[in-house]
Amino acid sequence: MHLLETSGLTKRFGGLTVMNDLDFSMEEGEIKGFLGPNGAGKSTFFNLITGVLTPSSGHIFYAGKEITKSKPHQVAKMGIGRTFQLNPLFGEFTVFENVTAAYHLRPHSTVPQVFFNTKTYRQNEEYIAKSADEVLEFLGLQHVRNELAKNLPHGYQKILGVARALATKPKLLLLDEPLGGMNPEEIAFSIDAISKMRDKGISILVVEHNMQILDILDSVTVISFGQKIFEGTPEGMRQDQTVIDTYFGGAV
Amino acid sequence: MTEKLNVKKGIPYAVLLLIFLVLPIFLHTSYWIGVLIMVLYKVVGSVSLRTISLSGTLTFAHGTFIALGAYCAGILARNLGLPPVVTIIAGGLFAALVSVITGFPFVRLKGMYYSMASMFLGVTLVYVIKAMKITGGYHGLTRIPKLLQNDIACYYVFLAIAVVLILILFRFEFSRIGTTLRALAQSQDVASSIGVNARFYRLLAVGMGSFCAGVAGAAYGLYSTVLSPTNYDMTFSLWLLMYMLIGGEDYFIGPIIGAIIFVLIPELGRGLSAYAPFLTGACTLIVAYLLPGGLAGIPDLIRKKKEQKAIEASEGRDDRASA
Ligand SMILES: Nc1ncnc2c1ncn2[C@@H]1O[C@H](COP(=O)(O)OP(=O)(O)O)[C@@H](O)[C@H]1O
Ligand SMILES: [Mg+2]
Repeated sequence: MHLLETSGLTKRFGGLTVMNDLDFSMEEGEIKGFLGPNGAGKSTFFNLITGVLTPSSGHIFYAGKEITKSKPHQVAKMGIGRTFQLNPLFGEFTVFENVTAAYHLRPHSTVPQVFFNTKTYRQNEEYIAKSADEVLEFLGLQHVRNELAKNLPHGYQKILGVARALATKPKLLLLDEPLGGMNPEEIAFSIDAISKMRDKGISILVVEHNMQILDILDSVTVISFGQKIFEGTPEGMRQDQTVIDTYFGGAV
Repeated sequence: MTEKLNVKKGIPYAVLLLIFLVLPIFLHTSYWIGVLIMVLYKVVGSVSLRTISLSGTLTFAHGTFIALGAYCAGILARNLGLPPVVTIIAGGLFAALVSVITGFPFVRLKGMYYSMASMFLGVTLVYVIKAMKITGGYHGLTRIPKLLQNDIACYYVFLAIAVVLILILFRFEFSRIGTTLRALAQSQDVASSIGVNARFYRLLAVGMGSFCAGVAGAAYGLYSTVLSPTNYDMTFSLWLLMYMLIGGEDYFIGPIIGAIIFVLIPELGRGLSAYAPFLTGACTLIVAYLLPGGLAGIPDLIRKKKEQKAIEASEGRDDRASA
């Protein structure tokens, strides 16, 4: 059984076919790249998996269960966490509040538990505060803990997006261009952090244009115009003629 | 940043409560007691409206749900002779129930669309009240058994109800529920990605806000003993919105201050009441231009100005030092 699998996944916007009959799979424990030129349909793929968009046809399975028609909050509940390419944040929340807010499911306090301030709720909140600080520490955000998220520099905002996704305790994490707009130092730090997350047992699917990411990938799927053009290892991808032609425009 | 709680923040509430506890000693005519009850009624109406708007939705139907609470309690008291405890709670539950059922198809709408849908909902429900027989139709519901014969006793009962409702809404907001609603207001996509069921939480806020509004409406109806559907038209909802905006919607105490001031202003000078819409309009403009956080935001505004001055002063020193 694959951790994540799509079969014949197709998405049309009006007459435009953005995702065309895509068969995809990834395994548990894997860190996989989902690459392709701008406009290839990568973000659309993430939106289809997480229920933000509904496929025109085809099926999506996660851990053996069909999630083709699941809603975003249901997908999150099943253990798929994600970041967004354009990286929206809870801008009016502090960095710390952004992360604590993300502990909505694990642990989950029911509305009556919250309202009546029961022991379970208080214990959950205590755990959440502690755990959120650990996440901030792990991602190097501790020193901006009390800043408003909207005031953070771009690179930090990206990392905060990852922190938030991590706080949902995902089994599978979808990262949409996590290194976009980062300086070299931040890139090195983030790549290291991503590979550490994998070491913690989180399976990761990552969309990224920065090829430094290849160093930590187990496998790669490359798409172009919504169709798969390559599937294999990072080394294999570097040497693949189709990939070189369409992706790098023959420049590599 | 979410409004922070500390003991100092509690002082204004304590002062207000004290004032409302002793006011009837000075203003004990039945006219003034009526005004004070009206203040409390609109305070609850406006605070509960703000609870709904926490999730980023602006409703124009809030006054209608106050009406539903009032009519439900009024009819039960008048036709079945049920005691106030029962009818008031029933009024709240009825308002909550209708708000959740009617809100179900709407809450997914974003921004202005939700507001427009709520506007039509409010207008339609008031129209239904006017058309029905059991509600007394256009002429209203009369001869509702009075809450208590003594006006001052009515006032203290109303004060107790208002305090309880405000505590409920306070607890609601300053808990993880409030955080989740604020998260939804900032980005529904992100909130969904961390597992928030947007529809459930929006309806929860709508139901909670409407319950408290319904209770206040019910209690006010039992006090006034007559209900007229024209009292609950769109302008009523708009006034509640206005109290919240002028008072400062970022602050829990905002709508409380807004409602107190704008219900009382016309009372302070006789004949002023005719000008209430103009006065409020002028105040809205002043607040919009000068006080972005509303009246409740003034302390924060002053603090920020002071901090800025301090920074400028220290920068000035640095300049001189380096020159
Ligand atoms: N909501 C939408 N409506 C219409 N077209 C869209 C929509 N979302 C994406 N597209 C189009 O789908 C294509 C793929 O977009 P996207 O998945 O964002 O690409 P990528 O993330 O690979 O850069 C683009 O041509 C884009 O313009
Ligand atoms: Mg993209």
